[in-house]
Amino acid sequence: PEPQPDDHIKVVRIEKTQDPLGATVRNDGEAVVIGRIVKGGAAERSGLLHEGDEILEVNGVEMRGKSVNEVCDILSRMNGTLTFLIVPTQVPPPIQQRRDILIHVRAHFDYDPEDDIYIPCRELGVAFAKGDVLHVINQEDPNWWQAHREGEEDQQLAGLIPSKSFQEQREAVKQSILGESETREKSKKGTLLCAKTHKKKKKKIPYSSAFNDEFDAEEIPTYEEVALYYPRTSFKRPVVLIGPPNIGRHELRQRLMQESERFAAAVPHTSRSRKDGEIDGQDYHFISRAQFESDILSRKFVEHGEFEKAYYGTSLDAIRSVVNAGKICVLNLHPQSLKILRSSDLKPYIVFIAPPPLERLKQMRIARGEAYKEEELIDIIEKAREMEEKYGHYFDLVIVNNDIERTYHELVQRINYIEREPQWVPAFWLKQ
Amino acid sequence: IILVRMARRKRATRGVYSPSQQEYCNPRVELETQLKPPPEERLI
Repeated sequence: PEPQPDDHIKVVRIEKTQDPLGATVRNDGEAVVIGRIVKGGAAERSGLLHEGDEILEVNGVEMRGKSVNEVCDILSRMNGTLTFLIVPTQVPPPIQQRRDILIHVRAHFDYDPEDDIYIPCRELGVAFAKGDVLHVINQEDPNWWQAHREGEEDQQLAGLIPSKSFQEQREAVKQSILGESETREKSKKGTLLCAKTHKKKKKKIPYSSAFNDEFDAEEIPTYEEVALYYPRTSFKRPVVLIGPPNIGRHELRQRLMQESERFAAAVPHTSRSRKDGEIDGQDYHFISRAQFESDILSRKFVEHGEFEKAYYGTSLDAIRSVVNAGKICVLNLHPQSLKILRSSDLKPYIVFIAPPPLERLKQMRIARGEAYKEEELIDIIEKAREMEEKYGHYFDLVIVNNDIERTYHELVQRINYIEREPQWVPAFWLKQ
Repeated sequence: IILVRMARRKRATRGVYSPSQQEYCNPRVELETQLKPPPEERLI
């Protein structure tokens, strides 16, 4: 569009230091237009510039016809009082503080703005990793939120992160493409291998919680709203150890439970009959097979399975009674069980015990005088990788078990830590 | 049966040239046509 008549042009003065003003510019044909106002900068504080304003001149230097890169260069060399000649946007500026609600989210994916062709302004991009907490301070742009990464709140200017809906949209497109090419791959294999594939599927899993696996496919992990939880002495968060088999989870659990004043196990349920010397409610809760099945249906179990024609399972109530006794419940669970436990009121603290690199894993086996097969160790490492990929967004802590002694001490230290210091937890835990 | 299978296998490896198929398999191309990059913004 042509420059507007004089009465539409506004003169605006803003003080600038060495730091950027905290506004972005984009080209719209010949025009140089304000793209966004960033929280924490001089432009935002002044309230004088608005998204959509066209900049005609700055300190007498004409901007029309210049590329955003040139504009950026010119302005980075200016400081002191800047006099802007602008054509205000035709769109009325939104009512102030419309959506300035601070929310905290935990990222469930890695993000590097350098790799993102969709970010409107790369220099404002905030890089983050899975598990980082982000403070979102502006959601006016439906695709790009303004945020600070935890630990970087001292930075004046906010940065840009993809919004939840934008990230979901992007992942959905990616997954639909991958999904299509995968099914194509499978159908190709199917014709070549014919009958072979059927046999492989019948691999039996001895102990599984079968009913709560349906959620994995549909959920696109983006962000989860979190809130700060202040520990209470009257409530001990259960500690859940997750990880592949045979890398020391059971030993860690046994060692913790030796401190019986502080730690305890949940008493499991079983449908098998009580043996001599066993005490109901102490060794197991002995219930009938029919009762067990109805409890499964009413989702009382965090985890259950069948062994030698009897059911075994850990119930939410059994965990709760350890909590009510003022002790820390220690649980070794399959990661599939995390969903039920996390949606309860028990606020679990989830620790992933990861295997060390293959060479170290071998050394540890040798040191314990145990025989091993290389394939078995490779399989453990592969399982751990899969778990981390699928359930990593549930983990509060990852410890690589390089040395059981050190792992144990780190675990105890972290449990001590969460008993005194506030932690980020899913926001809905605090609304319950 | 073996002959049928061999014939099938041959057909599978010597299929018709189909450039659209290749394009379809390239996620990058597909993603870019569905989501358009925004105009570049620079910080001032």
